[in-house]
Amino acid sequence: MTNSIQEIKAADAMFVIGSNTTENHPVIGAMMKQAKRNGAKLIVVDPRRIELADYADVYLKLKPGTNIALLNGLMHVIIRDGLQDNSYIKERTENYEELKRLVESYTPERVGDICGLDPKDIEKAAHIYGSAKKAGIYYTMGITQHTTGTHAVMNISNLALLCGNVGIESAGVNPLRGQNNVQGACDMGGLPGDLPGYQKVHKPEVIEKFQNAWDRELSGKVGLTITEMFESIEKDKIKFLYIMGENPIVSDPDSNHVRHVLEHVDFLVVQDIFLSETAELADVVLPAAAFAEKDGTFTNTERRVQRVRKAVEAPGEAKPDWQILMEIMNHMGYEKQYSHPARIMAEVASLTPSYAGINYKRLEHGGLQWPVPNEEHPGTRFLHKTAIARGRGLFMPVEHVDSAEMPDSDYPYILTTGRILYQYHTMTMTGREEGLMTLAPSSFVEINETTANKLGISEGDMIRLTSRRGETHARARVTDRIGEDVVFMPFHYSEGQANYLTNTATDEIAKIPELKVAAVRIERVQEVL
Amino acid sequence: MDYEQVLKYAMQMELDGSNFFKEKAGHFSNPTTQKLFQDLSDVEMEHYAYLERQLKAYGDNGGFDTSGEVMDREEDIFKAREESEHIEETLKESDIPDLTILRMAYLIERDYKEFYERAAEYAKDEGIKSIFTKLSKWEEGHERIFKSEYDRRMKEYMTLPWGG
Repeated sequence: MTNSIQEIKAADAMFVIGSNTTENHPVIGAMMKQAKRNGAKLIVVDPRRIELADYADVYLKLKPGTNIALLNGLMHVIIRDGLQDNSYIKERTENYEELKRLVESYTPERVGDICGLDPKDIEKAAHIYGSAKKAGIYYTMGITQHTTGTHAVMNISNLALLCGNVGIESAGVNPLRGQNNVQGACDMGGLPGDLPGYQKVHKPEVIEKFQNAWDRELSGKVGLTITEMFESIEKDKIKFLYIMGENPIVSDPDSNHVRHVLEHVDFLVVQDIFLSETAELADVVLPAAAFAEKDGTFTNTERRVQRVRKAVEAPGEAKPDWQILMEIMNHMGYEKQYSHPARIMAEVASLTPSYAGINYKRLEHGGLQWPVPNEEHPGTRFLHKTAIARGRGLFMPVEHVDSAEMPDSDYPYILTTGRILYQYHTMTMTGREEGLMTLAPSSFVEINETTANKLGISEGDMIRLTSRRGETHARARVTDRIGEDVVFMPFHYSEGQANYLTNTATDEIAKIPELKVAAVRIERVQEVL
Repeated sequence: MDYEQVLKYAMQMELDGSNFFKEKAGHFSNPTTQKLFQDLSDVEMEHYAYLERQLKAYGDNGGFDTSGEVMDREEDIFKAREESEHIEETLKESDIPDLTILRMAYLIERDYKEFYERAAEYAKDEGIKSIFTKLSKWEEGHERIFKSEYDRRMKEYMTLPWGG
């Protein structure tokens, strides 16, 4: 997030797109409701009428895969009606004329046709966002899990820059991260092209710095993303795979293919706190300690590094992740020892400019938001206050293009997937909790009343969904939450698993698969065989 | 004013640039930031050496006058760009500092180009006017080089697997 969670409460307007915030980020969702009570305006954009839509001043139920067109339409109206921040554009941005030229053709009527929306609602949303003094944009996987995900993020940035909403309090561009420490994992180099602090592996000077610190030769090659790793395993270019805290058989697209790949790899190590579906295929399972069984830090979605303290002993042979990694490292001949995560943080600070001022002593008094360039620095509540990091914010105009797989006569419906409140990710944890399983015991398919009637489907019927990749079964929930010709499934469940159906086509830049749009066929069945 | 004066002026500008970038190189801990500032400092010194060779080639005509219109140097071109682009603050927040720096660098070259263009416009002597015009073209070439390096790196970053 460019901004902080607490700032949401003082926003004048909130633009929530592709985020089921109250179910997936309940704390942030609650703050949005507080902001609404404080007088903020709320725009909600989602193919499903999510709970937050009930609080919205305008709710846009767009067709999956049309985010870019909608954003262009909003910017068209804002510029047409003179709501853009001209002085901000002049002083703090570049390439505005290109943006203006591109969005000119995205009239509300044209965008309405592409997105399946009423042009008046598009105008209303544009006026709310464009008129607000402090407007924050909040998004999650509904934006990124598309073949056009990176361009959609750029377009969100375009919208924020257009109205001067980057570099001020209670505004900004705010991706809400999907796990408690995904931000921290990325910060520490859990990306194919990065070392800690997003220092790029292909830069010789970066490699030299880390080689000097670690006294070992390092590769300067950009690594592979998960989708690329799977391709390489199939081609026998990768023979060993080490998976930590992930369950790709359930969470990744085209589950049949994922299983085939994991069965094909020569040697599979899985490190997790429970024996997941993926761990069942492993040659070696390394039992890891859970969050309450270890010391360390998590870095949350607002870039806040926070202490986590051990409350109970880990069961059996389970150990903290850092200790398992250190022992493997030692067995492989690198003798360095760390006596406590605080020692690791000291090394992180010495090598990572944005973490340079962070240490355990300071974290005793509360979390710190990076960048923290030195020990006197208080942390950074919101980014780009003085200027955009590049110098000026660069408008990157982008055109709408269709999703990789569109409905046709064989597969006439769009499947979109997501999360629900009572289950978490692939249920390795929540699936063991009786209360949660009582509330949300099984997978389901949300289907519009009109579509259901057309197909002779009633509430609770078992239905079969088939895509070009596979098929799955789940019970129907007939509802007007979802639009006609679109169905929704949660991806959590291994029985009635949505990811048998999803598409492996990826965004060209981020390599994130298009989990939000897959063409499917729907049939009512008597029972699952 | 003569050719020597103009060249010495231009040399001083390059020297200022080199010192500016060198000072910045020692100020940041990110290795990419350090390296790029050092590289830019070296480039400015190469420019300085080039001008020095030109000066020597034409020989010393004697009598170096530090007064006159051309010597009202815009000494603060670097400082002004540093401040207008908020380089201290932005580099602390940038994951790709080389783009931030290269952008500032090509803007500085553009500032020089425009400065020499203006100097050529106001110069009364045709010979001096011609030298300023040549220097302006020279700086325009530097701007193009930095911009093209900026574009190359931008493209490189755009093909990296971002996200998470």
